[in-house]
Amino acid sequence: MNSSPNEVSRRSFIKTASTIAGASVFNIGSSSQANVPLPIPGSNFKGAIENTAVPRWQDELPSYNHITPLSTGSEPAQYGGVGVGKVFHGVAPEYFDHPAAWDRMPTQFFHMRATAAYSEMLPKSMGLKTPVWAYEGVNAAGAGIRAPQFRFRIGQPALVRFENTLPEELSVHMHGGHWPSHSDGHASFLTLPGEKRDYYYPNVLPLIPGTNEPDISEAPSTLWFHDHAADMTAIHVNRGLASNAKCFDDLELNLIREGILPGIRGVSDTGPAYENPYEMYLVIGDRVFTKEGAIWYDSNNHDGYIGNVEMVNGKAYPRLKVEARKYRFRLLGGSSARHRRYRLSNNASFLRIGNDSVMFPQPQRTQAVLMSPGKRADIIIDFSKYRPGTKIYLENILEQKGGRGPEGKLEDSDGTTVSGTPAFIHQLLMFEVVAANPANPDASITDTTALRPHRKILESEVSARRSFRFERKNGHWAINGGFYEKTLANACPTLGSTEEWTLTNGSGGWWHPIHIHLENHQTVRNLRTGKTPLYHNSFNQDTQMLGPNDSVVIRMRFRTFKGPFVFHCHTNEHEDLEMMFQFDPRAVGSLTPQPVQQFFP
Amino acid sequence: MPSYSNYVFKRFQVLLGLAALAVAMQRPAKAEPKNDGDAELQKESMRLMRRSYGDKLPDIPVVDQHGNHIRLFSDLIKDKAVILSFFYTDCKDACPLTNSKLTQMRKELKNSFGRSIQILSISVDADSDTPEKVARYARMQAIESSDPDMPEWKFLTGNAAEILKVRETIGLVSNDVTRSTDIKPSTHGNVLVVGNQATGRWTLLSAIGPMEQNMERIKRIAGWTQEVRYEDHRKSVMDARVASSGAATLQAPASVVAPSLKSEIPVLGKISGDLQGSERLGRGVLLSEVKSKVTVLSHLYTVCPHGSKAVIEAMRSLNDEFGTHPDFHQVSMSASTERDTPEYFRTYAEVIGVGAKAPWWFMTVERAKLNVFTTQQLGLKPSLLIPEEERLNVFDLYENDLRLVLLDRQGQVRGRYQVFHPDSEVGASAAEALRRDVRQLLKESEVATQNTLKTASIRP
Repeated sequence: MNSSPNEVSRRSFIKTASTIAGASVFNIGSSSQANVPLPIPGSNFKGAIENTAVPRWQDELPSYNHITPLSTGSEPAQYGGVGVGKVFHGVAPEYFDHPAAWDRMPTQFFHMRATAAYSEMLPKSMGLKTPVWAYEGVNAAGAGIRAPQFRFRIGQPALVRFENTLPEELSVHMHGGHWPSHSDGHASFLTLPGEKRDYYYPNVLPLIPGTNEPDISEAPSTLWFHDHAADMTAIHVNRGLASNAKCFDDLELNLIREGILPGIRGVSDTGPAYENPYEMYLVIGDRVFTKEGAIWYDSNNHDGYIGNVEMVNGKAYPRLKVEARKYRFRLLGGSSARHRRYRLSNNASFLRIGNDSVMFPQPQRTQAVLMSPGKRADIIIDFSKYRPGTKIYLENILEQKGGRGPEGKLEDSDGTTVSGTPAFIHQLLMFEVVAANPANPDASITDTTALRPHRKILESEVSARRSFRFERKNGHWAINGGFYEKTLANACPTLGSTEEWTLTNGSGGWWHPIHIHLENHQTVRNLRTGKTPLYHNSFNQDTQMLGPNDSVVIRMRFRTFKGPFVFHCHTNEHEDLEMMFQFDPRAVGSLTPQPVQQFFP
Repeated sequence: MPSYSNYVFKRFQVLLGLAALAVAMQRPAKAEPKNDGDAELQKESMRLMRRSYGDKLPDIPVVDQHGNHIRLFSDLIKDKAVILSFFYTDCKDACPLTNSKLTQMRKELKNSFGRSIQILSISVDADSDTPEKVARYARMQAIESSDPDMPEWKFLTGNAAEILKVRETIGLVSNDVTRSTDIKPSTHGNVLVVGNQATGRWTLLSAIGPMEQNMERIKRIAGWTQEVRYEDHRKSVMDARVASSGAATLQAPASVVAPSLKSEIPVLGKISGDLQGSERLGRGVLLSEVKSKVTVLSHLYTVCPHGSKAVIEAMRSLNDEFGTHPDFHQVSMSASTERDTPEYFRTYAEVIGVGAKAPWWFMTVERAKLNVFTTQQLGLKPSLLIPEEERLNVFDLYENDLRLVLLDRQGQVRGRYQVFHPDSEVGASAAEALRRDVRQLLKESEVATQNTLKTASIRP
């Protein structure tokens, strides 16, 4: 192998980085603590780009782009009908047959495809382009929109024609929402190569039990979508098949309109684009890169993929200019297996306003946020107290050496305070403060602002209890000793009922973030510690972190849509290697596993 | 609520969609690169997508049940589709169950893979599993088969430490907290490692899982072609859509339509050109010489590693049934001018028992001409050059549309029948449909049928 040109170029990267930062790659943050470089994981792969060879803070943070509807109200001509003709995988039956209340606003029709593309994941100065698989929105003129972001509105249905132009089977899971089974992104409901599927997102809220009132306490804000094809999820997501969506309801739009949440009045509260320069996603994911700049993936590793280069919005170590004012960031754990604890380099506190999809009743002041893969945190950072020119870094202070999980117990890293200097610091993103634009007044949110009301699920509502034990068995990952079966509904709740599930991590040392589709759940207590959840974990979530030996009691309702849906470990390799079950809400539930009631291959 | 008429209209759209779907089922499943026609990018992307199982596997020496000394990676896994299973001869619970499931899978795999997949059972207790013990164990499984298409099944043993390294490399033994459990021979359970080192797709599955789901997954993960990979899934999509439409009279693909539902044979097109080629012994022939006969045409490639065998079997059974009818004719067409020469075809026909006087031509035709004829006149898919890395062997050059085409006395195309199908039942039903249609056409008078041209074929 001729490796010398690579070696030379690698040295020049470091040189470039040094020139630009005016110092070595490390110790360039405002923090006095050393920035710990991440090692190349595993001993088998020698050809990776070292973490220290990736220059910091050179490129701007990429943003996600609004995917514009082809039409609103009537089907676009280029569709040729919904769910028919060449749309091999059809559309959800709910599209044709649903309550009139679901059509409060005219349906938006979208077109999205999965395609092969190049992406500049590493800083431009490295001169490397990474081949990726990407979602691409298609606008009315037929042009592609990269890093597509849906902007959904509660009450306004969306129909997304999804086209798979890649050579492998795909399934689009819209994570955090309340969707029909056909359109949920079930692991076995695929879009085959060259084929299409019409995903129907009615954007309706579940009803308050016993009423006809939509339950606004469950309105989602922060959604993301990613591939979910059985056996292939981990590698597909690793290759780039992930993006995100925002969802607005009247309550949230009012918070923006009244200047409580960051945004521009009259713009950020107005569809269909809801453009908002003071509110953005920060999707954090890790990768290993070959010397050619390609993503390296080790499918031998069933422990969980760990990378040595951290990306924010698909760019390694970017920078972001922020005005001296409040910003809303939606942090998203986009990794396969890496858990992180985020904080600001000056240890300043910030407001957390949501966990996963749903906003809290009231903000929580915190210095750190712990997130597993698949989880989201809605936060407000106030830069108004900083002089222009100040540099602040978003840091991860949780060390993780392999797919097993971070060091220590879950509760060790889930608190709201950070005291002393963390033993591990890895900086992810540089905020560079500039003067605020006086034309746009700052947001008025405070520690006591009322946000989204919460509706607690009471013990008296619970009509059935189930237990699921997540463990390593026979060299792969099992639930209750069993594996994913696409025709078997492992849990069959009655539609409209409430259940209490105990999720137990029995795999001696491994961490498992458990994601349950369709509905939010509420944490009751951890049986290992005997404790009730901290403030930020006591509302609606869709992904439950389980540390080693944790046993967590949760409650959830099953509403609106018949199953089947899946629930699984969100460490994608664990999910692919069978740590996935199905639940299937139906008219008459069952305490024993049953065949799935419908199937939309 | 949506208005009633709107609802009905949408249902009608579903029906239309199903008709179009039936056509869609017949076109190749291969995804064409659509990213600004950037085939290079697609190719590069695929190269990088290839998982690294094989690349990292230690190429350890192993002994099979026949006492052959071979290398695990270079002889058994490199460029192959494999099912890896782990066993030890003293195992009383998991292994016998796994082996019985493997026996069942192997028979089913024969149809879509033939010998292009193999099963490797590797001992996890190699210190006590000597080659002699493993040979005896293999004999007990009664895996020897005289069927040349039966996938191979090898039982392997070797050095225990090296085999442990293999289990570590493929992830069955974690180096993390659960290593002490993972390492025990009894922990291997019923786990199968399934994949295709050439295409780079791998997964694990449980041998005791539902057989249908396991077969679907093995094909999807380890299949060599898109057609094999997604055959089961495509079929389940069709079944689900037919079921959900709730109309019993809906026409699904022929494989699921009862014969009684078909009353007439549709006209799919008409031959306007001629085809010239060499018959056995170099006799120049023109297709127009047999234009007043009911004719069945097919591709033939005598060394084809895929489905030519099924095609020739179907052609032979037609010859058995209709070979004496004066109005019946058969044509096997090959573009492999260097291998399927007229001289070679003479021997070949003799070997399969087709006499020189039989109404069955073996035509060697120039590739370009044959391609134009089969695509434009017969409506078959064009022959595609198989990318080098996807070839099963050195003869595996072209992917031909192996459907049999039925022409009536007027030179009209009346059906295309997929007698070679990964699901042997589908193939058999297509062959049966073809025999039935030939029978009917031979019975019909020579008066031209008044059928108008129908574009949608519901034939497999």
